[in-house]
Amino acid sequence: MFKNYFEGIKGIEVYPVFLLIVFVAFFISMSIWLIRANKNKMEELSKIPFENESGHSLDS
Amino acid sequence: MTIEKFSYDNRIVKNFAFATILWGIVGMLVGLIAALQLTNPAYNLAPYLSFGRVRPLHTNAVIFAFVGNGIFMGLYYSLQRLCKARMFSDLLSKIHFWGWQFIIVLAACTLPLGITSGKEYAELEWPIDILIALVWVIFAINMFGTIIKRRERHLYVAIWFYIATVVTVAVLHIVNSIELPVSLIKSYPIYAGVQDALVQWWYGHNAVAFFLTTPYLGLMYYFVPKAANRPVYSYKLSIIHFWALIFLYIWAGPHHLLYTSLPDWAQSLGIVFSIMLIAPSWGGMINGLLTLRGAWDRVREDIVLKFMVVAITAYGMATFEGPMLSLKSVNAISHFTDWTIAHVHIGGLGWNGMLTFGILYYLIPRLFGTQLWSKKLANFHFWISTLGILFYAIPMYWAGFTQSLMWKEFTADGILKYPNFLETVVQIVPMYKLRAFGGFLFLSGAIVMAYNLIKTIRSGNLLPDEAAEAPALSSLEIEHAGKSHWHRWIERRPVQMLLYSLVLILIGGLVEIVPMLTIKSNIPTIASVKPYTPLELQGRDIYIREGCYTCHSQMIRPFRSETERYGEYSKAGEFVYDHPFQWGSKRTGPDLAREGGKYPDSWHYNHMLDPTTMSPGSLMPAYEFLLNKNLDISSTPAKIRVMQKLGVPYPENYDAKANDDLIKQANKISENLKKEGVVVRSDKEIIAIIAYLQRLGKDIKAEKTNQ
Repeated sequence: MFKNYFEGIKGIEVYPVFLLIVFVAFFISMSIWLIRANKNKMEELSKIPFENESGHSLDS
Repeated sequence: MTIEKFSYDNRIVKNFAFATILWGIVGMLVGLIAALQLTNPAYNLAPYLSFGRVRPLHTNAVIFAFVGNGIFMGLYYSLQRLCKARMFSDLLSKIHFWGWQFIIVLAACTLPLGITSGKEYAELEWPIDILIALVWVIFAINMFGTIIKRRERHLYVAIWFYIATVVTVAVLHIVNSIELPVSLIKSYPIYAGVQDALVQWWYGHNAVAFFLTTPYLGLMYYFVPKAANRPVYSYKLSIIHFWALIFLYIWAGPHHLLYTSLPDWAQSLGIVFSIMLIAPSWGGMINGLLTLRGAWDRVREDIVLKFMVVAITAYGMATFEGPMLSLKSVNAISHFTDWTIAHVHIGGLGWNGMLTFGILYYLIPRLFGTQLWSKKLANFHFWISTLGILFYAIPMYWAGFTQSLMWKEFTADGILKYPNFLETVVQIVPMYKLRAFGGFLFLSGAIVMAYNLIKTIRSGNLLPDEAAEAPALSSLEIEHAGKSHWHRWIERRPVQMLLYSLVLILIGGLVEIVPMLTIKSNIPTIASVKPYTPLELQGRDIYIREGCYTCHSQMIRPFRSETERYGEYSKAGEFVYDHPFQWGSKRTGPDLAREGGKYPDSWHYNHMLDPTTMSPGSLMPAYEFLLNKNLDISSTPAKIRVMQKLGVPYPENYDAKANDDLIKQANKISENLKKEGVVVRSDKEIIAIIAYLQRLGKDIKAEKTNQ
């Protein structure tokens, strides 16, 4: 059933394969980056909401 | 390093906060009215406040007015602080605010008047659609302007969620609203039938994703850490949460159309991506809850945290249930029942409602430089709204299971145990009453909150321009050249980020929709399916105007329990002239896809006059006014011309002759009614709606006899 629908588009077979590669590649590179990312830098980023505000400070 | 002095615009935040409270109460009140109407049809005030018109009013009000203003409130507050910059332009902020309120007022006026495009959650007609697009663009300019002139190099994760929201909502709204106007208050979508259904649910699902979820996740990532006074549990997890969510969400739409006439491949695509969605959603929920690590003792004391914990928990429940509902076997049971209504209210009341309340309790005292007036009342609000959610959801789950079990039950002899649909309706009326009570509790809580916040506001003074200072942004790119990673590179570039997320969602959208639009073989044509006659077309527009689709489906799924009850299952080719499609999404009344010829004309006449005379115990509102209202046939030629432009094969110059055919057919029905003992003039609206209802499913029956 799948096949019949897709047959109409020229070069359709490339679509899903291409997209799968793009998706997986993106996720893998993002994960690698995240694992390797500097922990201190990450902590620093997570504190952005607390910066430079009067009357608010972090417990820790 | 030069320190720059500037101020945050608190007035715009205050305005959006007030609008959130006001429209929240209005939207919930309309919801309560709709709920009561389903307990007793006498609560329908036809024509303007009958259920079919009230329900879209409720959904539009809570989604776009309550949650919409809630988004803007939290976004305008947090964006300024995360960017260490005032909003780009005070004028644009004002235009955005008043433009959005103007749209809401237009919606509140047009929907009760029956001015609707007949597509769920996108009911507003084309002039309002254009206005929405304009105001949204103004909002986008204001937001990106602020991001560009920011004093904080890195874009905090909340801002990514805001960017994805702005981009995607624009695309969804525009694609789903492409329609050809017939007049200032009437249009037909360019898509028909299956294609329209796919586009609509691609929109509908992503409206949930990118209007009710991603912006609120952005708010969660800002306000939960602020309220808990500790950074988010894992910043890394929030990055994964973001990318996985926008990758996956955009593909999941077709899970609203399982077992329908939508091609199998599109259904399967929707299921796979829906299941995968559970991972990022739960990652996000865990991230939100674990932000409270070491602060759980404060949840007992802090009213803001209480609301937020319930909100995040509801997010977790709804995003677990969602993927489950997109499994075909579960969907076979849940679809068209009140289970769906329960599910969306876990999300709506729990996630959106409670988070909004939490943010309001956080913001208002800060904006007005004071303390919350009454912690006791806030606690009362918390408990009554939590109870309200339970009283709402549990009866609705119960009703959903009951409906489904009764619809599908066969006797030992293999015939339907409850062949009369009404039996399954009467059974769940007590559940509808409990649900209305739950809604009442939730609304009461919101009113108590409004009172508490007004008292709070009275005890303080608005700080319209909150002074702040931050160092100007130096050109760090040069310092970091060669060392920084691509992801941080993109974090620093909002415009590129906008473009990339646009490309991502367009790929998802295109792969899903384009094959449907371009391949003819997707929709096998059925020779006996013919365009509607002018009278049927007018009748169909009355059907749309009255919002019949809010209770009746026109989609028989290929189950024995449905084909036994309603007849032949629905085929894609049957809907090729349906602009818009009217498959519906719940069955408070029976499916109507094979309604034609089931009953005599006089049955429909009497049923519209007072449904309970023909179906004792029916919850359907009476449509007596259709019996007296003249059918406006001046619009027929224009409607035919637009249909021809959309590819409906009426003969050439048919627009000039259409009304002759219309009158002929109307006279025939009027004579027929006379024979059955009903005297009614042929120029009344009732004649047109009877013509349409008697046409439903006729074509496919003709096809069968031909074979």
